[in-house]
Amino acid sequence: MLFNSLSFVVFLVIVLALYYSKIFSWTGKKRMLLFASYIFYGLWNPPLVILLWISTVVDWITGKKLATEENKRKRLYWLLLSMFVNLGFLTFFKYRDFLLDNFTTVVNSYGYGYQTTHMDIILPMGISFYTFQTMSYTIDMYLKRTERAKTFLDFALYVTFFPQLVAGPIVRAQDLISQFYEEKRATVNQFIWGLFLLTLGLFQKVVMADTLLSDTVDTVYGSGKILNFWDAWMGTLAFSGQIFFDFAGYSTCAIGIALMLGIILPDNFRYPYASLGFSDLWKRWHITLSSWLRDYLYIPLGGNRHGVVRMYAALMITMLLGGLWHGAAWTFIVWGGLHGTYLILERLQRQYLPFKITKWNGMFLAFTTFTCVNITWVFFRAREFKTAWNMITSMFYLNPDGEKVLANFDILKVGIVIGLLFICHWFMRNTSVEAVSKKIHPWALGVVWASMFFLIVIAQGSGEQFIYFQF
Amino acid sequence: MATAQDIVLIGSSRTGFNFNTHVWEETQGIKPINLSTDGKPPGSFLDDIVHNTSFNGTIVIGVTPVFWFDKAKNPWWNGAQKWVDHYHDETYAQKLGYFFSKPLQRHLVMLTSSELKFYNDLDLKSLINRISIPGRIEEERMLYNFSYHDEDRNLIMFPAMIDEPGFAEKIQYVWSGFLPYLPEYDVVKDDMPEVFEYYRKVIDIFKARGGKIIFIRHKSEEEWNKNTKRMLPRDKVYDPFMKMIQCPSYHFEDYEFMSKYTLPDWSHMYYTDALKYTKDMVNKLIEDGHLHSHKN
Repeated sequence: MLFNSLSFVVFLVIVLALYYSKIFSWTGKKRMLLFASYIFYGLWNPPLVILLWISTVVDWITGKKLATEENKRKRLYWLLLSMFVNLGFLTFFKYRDFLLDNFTTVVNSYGYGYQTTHMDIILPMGISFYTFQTMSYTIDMYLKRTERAKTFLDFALYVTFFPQLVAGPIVRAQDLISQFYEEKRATVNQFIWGLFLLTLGLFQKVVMADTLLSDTVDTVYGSGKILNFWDAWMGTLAFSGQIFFDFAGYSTCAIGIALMLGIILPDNFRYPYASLGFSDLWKRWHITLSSWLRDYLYIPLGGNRHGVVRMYAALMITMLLGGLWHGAAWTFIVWGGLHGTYLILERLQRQYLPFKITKWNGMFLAFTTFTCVNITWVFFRAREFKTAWNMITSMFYLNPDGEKVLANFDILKVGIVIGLLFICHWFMRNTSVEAVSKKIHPWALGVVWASMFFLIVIAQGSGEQFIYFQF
Repeated sequence: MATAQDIVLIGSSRTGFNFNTHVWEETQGIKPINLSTDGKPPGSFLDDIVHNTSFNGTIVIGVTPVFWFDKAKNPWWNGAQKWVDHYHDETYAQKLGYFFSKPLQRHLVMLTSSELKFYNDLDLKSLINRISIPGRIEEERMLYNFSYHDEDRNLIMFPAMIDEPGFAEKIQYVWSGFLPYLPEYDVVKDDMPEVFEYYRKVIDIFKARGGKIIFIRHKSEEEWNKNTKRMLPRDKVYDPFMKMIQCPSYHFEDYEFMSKYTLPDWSHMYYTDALKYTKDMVNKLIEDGHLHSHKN
């Protein structure tokens, strides 16, 4: 079920009415939330709820065993079972055809006439998110960093909690399960703020991403032509805005909906396009994934504890796998590789060419970071290397006779939207929407809120799927 | 589930505008299932019905020659194919959303928005896209919406098409922008054997399981008629095709009741004319034994 759909509005109203009614005890409310979460997921494709159940049961049993088992070898086996099931699902549903295609290419390069058949398997929505979330529980249990969930109901709700089930934020067990132990009710202020965040998230998705930017992106990346410098840049800038508004919009909706239930979810975005370098970027973009990759991949790979070379290797492997997490294609791996390269270059710069960041060079640094990020977005969006290469060469002015596909107004529109986005991120980088909202007059906030709502209504979104659902 | 008694209408916008399912039901006693698609070749629907269902009733196909005699599975087919795919892939959440939206659509005034991106749509994206700064690329002629759908997907022409001076001319201006550039018959004639063969196979499968197909060539005028005749002359395309597939067919040039109405935009019937046209057409099909009256 999509947040930007009429069926979700009806669903949410029913869930809120039941949640705040007096007919259920707290356990009853949790059961209702769990049931609602399965409905939320199952209305997309009912049989795939079974995957959620298997993942939930396996990790519940694993957690239970890890809580009592002291034998190191047996503890490891339980952890491996959990990882085998979760990563097995992920590999089968997401990476099977990719691995098979690459295997075929390699084998056939030695002269074998091996042929494969694609199984045309549906990618279960949000599988990358919920498998990572549930794996974090078993890994933390194995490392004795978290307590075992008190009840199966609490754990199942942690795996399946509908606001963040499909596209995050990826929440750690200690941050969410413990919130289910005692009855939660949003205060009036929390409820209103949650509703505001839901409106803001829908505004980002429906108005900014789908209405203002998506057509330009589709025109440029779907043209199949070698493009003019301006068209290539504007299409890529539009995509940088589209993917931010789309994904940050989803996270904002998720945080808002959870808050309306009195549940606090962590931030997932903190004005990433005003990042001062790439380490800063990954503390601001998809924060819950980057912290997951840091804690469960980069640090176990050695982190910065075993010398410079090992650190760079760990960094690159983490980013390459981070790229692969987004999609089963080499273009995503290149996207991750570019980010890994940027992070390594940044550390080298800090070591050999250190400089102090001031107010004046900071904006230049942020602009440079944003520009470099846009280069990576080409590989994220293009899906085919030929398209990516054509775009990159056009962006570096190597195709001066490239074709024009965008009208003057499209260029102006993208320029204004992305310019304002960058400026907004710059001025907001050390604050938050909530902090700003407390400084402005309630009437002004009301006008902003009403304007967003009005624009969502007249945008009449056609229920476009969120981009990150495919990951 | 459609039965052998059911009737399915497929075709492009002329089928949507010219046939009215409510009048059809009043005349014959059965409401046909309207699968017409505006602005798209309808071949994907026929293909899907024949290959993915066991339906063996009657299919009434409205032929707009430039769409119908297009090579099968051309990129132009993608538009209708998306609709077919949506029918098969629609999630329960989407079905639920449709169920909830129906009463809202019945009782609220909706701002028009269309996948065909009409210039006069009123959703935010269309309003923004009306802003134009000419000079960089060649701007397309903007197509105006001149109809709305009812709940059974009948297309109903806006009264402004005959009441408001100049409105119909705006639509004609768009047609004039591309119709003269349709290719000559010599350019497309080599595609025809492939097109004929594709349909022959599909239609043979359908007829073999007891299904019946009736072809209707609705009226067109002026630029539409002139350029269609130039690209796909009747004696070289339509008539040989009908002779090959051996299905009942009705061409507007052969029947007075099919050609007596003036088409405001040269291609589609005005609503009140469409009501009379539907009644005459259904009565003719009953009279000729192609349909049976189910009225008590």
